[in-house]
Amino acid sequence: MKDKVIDITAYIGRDLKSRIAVREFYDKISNEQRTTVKIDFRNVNFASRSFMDEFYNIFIANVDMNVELINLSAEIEAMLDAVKSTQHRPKNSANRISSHHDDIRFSSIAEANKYLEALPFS
Amino acid sequence: MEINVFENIGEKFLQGLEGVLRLIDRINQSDDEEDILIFQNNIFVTPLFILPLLVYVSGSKKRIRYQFTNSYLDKIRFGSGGIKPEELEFSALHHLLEKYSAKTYIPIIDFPTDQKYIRERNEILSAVENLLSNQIRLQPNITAGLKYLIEESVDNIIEHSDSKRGYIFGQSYPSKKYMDICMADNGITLLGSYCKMEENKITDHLSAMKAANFGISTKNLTGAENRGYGIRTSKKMLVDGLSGNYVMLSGNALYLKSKTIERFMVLPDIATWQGTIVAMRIPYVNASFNYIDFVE
Repeated sequence: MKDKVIDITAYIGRDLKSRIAVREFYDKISNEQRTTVKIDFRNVNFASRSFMDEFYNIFIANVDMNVELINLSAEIEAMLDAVKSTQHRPKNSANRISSHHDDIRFSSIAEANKYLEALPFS
Repeated sequence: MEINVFENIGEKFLQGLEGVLRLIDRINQSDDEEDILIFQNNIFVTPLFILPLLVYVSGSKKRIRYQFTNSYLDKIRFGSGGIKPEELEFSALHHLLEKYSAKTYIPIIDFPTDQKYIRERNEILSAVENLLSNQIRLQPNITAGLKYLIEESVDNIIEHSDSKRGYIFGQSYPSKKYMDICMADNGITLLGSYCKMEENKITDHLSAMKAANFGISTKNLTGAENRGYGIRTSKKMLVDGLSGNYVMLSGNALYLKSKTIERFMVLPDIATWQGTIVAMRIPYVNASFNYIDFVE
């Protein structure tokens, strides 16, 4: 099928917010049996990191889909670069969880509140 | 037992949480199957009081009822647990929210997390963001940050909580130039979410809280660790970018983060929430803030 320009905001709205929205958008494109698509971001107002991460994995990293993105704003471009650069982060997380030794445990609510009241946190 | 609630929460952010903890203590001192929380007329409460209380009550084994004539609690729809957007026609919902355009708060919104309500949820969240933004005439750079902070928290509820409902409630303080936003769910907690992972080694609420705040997602793709940036980036944006404060509660674990403080805490077992709560104090005057500078 010939590729056509798809205005993403016509499917999702001007704010691109959730992972679930990407999956729904993908289902719609797939139902139209398109494997080559040009997606237009011209009218996008905002995109969350979660949205762009899901979009990257479902559309851009998808070998079965040939996608071209057009009219990306500087913000959307920066968000896309951020998610691209963090796709393969080293897994050193378990060490970080166990390395903290200054956890605070309260045996009563009175004790917890006394601590919270004294904390300069506002 | 009848429990009188006299809370008058001041400007210190954690006072709301302290108030809820006091109530939980009193509820647990009662042997009755049912307790009635009687809110006095002259109380003043904040989002970090209201949503943790709602989530605690909904997860409590006891029957807990509210009694109040306080008009603020009435206006924020506290008694009914919040506005359920899917029960209203969209025009009726907009009309209802318009009534709050001259206020400094939004009502409690109790939104569905199901995929079939994606459009309704997006519309209501956009309406909430616009309402908050317009009420205090936020600059566009702060509005973008606010959207980011709300959307990442809501997306975590949808993706991880297994909760059928999510809650959002916000209050601005124009003379102080900050707003408090709280988002919550009554789902499986962070720990429950990690326990669903294959080869999970996280077995307590505190470890789950640390894992979430160190950016370890429960849904990473095989061979990659590309998720889990939402909370980390939100905190960076809020704390480093806007000098705000971040609070997270899940199970009996409590996490606090500000520019000068970072604490992981374990509350007594009686203070265990069946769900996850995120609260943020967001200072909203900052001409140089750009949310994209904090995305990693």
